[in-house]
Amino acid sequence: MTTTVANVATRPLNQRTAISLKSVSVLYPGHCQALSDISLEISEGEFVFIVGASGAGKSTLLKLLTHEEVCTSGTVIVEGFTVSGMTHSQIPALRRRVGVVYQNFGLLPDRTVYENVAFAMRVTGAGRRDVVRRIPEVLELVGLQSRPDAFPGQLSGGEQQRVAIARALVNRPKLLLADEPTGNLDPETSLGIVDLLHDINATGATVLVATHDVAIVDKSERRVLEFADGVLVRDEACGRYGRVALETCEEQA
Amino acid sequence: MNINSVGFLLHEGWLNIRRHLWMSLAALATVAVTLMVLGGTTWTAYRIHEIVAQEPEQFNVIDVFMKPATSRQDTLAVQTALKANPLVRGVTLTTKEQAWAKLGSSDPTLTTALQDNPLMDRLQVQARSSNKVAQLAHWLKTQKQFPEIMQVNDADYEVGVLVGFAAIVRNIGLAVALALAAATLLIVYNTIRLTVYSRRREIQIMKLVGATPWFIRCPLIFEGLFHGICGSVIASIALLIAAAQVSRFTETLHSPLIAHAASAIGPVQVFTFLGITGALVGLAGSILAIHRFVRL
Repeated sequence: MTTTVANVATRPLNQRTAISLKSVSVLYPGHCQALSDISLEISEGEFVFIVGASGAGKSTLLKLLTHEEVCTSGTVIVEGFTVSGMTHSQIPALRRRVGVVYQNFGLLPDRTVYENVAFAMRVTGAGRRDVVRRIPEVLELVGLQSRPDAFPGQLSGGEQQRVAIARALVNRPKLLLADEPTGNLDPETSLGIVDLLHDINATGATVLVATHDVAIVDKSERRVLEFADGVLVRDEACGRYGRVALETCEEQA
Repeated sequence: MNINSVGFLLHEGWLNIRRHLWMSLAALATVAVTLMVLGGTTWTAYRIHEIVAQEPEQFNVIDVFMKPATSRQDTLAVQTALKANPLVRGVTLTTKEQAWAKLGSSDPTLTTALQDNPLMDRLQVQARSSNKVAQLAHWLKTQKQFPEIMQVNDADYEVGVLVGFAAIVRNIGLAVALALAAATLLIVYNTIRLTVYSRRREIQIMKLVGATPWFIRCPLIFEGLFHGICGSVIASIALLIAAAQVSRFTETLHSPLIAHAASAIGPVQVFTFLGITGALVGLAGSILAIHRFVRL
């Protein structure tokens, strides 16, 4: 099967590569091809949407980047780490450079907002002073500076996702991966979360968002990677959820 | 890993214990019982060997008990006759009245309840050397010239009984302790397994944010060590209390063997031996569970 790319996104030559995939395939047991011969590059500071139907390979791609999945063939490089062929002892160093946000938030229900975010710092060896200094900053960034003592059960879905984003950001990762971050949220809250992701991107972090949410992709008009049956079928620098004429984007550019 | 992190990891381990308190208590109690059996039997066996290995002087003494109806005159005659034996260094008489008075001073309720003195005159025959004790005891048991003698207790017999008892205690104790140790290991293993399950979200987050494998394992290992060490402290305290009671009891027996035997085992040895054993059991249980249930 050959990869069909509608329009390969271009990037400035002076930007460093955050993510590089070369001929990457993932074959699950039972000969299920999750990803097939994927090659792509994402520059530092880019904001990229990954779209496609369920089972298209979006989540597999994100898991490859954090070594939760291992590719069957090909090379995966993330933030200078060659993830494919990485030893177990190297994985923590990679994951400290990558923040991850999930659809179901993944918060600890018996810990407060502050404790949830602090936990992510403490388990990487951060001292108490660093935690005390850093957490107010990151809670302010996500707009939760007034709710540090609330438990996840006392927060709305959007607020919970903001806590999850704060937790992903607290260790200052260079790359933020969000897998369906608005999947459990209403449209208005979803737009708020995407605005927050844009703000984070504006600070220099590379952001990858796997989503089914047409509205946020179309509103953002950022680079879009579309997958279908494990194949990268579209790579548009300024795309929409569905295929559209390129002129619109070029006009905007 | 800095001091801050150690504090954090200990706190996380403590949270694990609090989350399933009853299972933790079960693990702790099982560790304590196992170590009590192991410590109790090992200590008893060691103590008996200690007594036997003492200066053999006290085993040179053969106790000769006279029949209750024997007159004092006949007893003294036997004493004189025994002194004449070349194997004998000396013979000391403890009259039944003296024995009764001694018993009365240590346990007045017994002498009051009994009223009549059922004790016998006792001749303590000191052999000239320890390697002649068996020969002298055999002669005393087989001769016919002293029909007044009722029973002869030599140290060889007492030592034999003690050593045999020590072997039984040690073997049964070790078998029971091994079986209990296996059960303890399984209970600690299951407790840690529960922790891994209840902490699955934390472990997942730890992995995703880049915690090192040791950071993930540490609270679980701490939990296993906590069960092992706390169980050993409980077992040590219980054993020391029990040992003090046994010691008080043996003193009332006025046994020439046990009363004077000094012991190398004290609270420090008990706490150290059981502490290390408990820690090893806890550590083994948690490492097995981590190996089986935590995918890093």
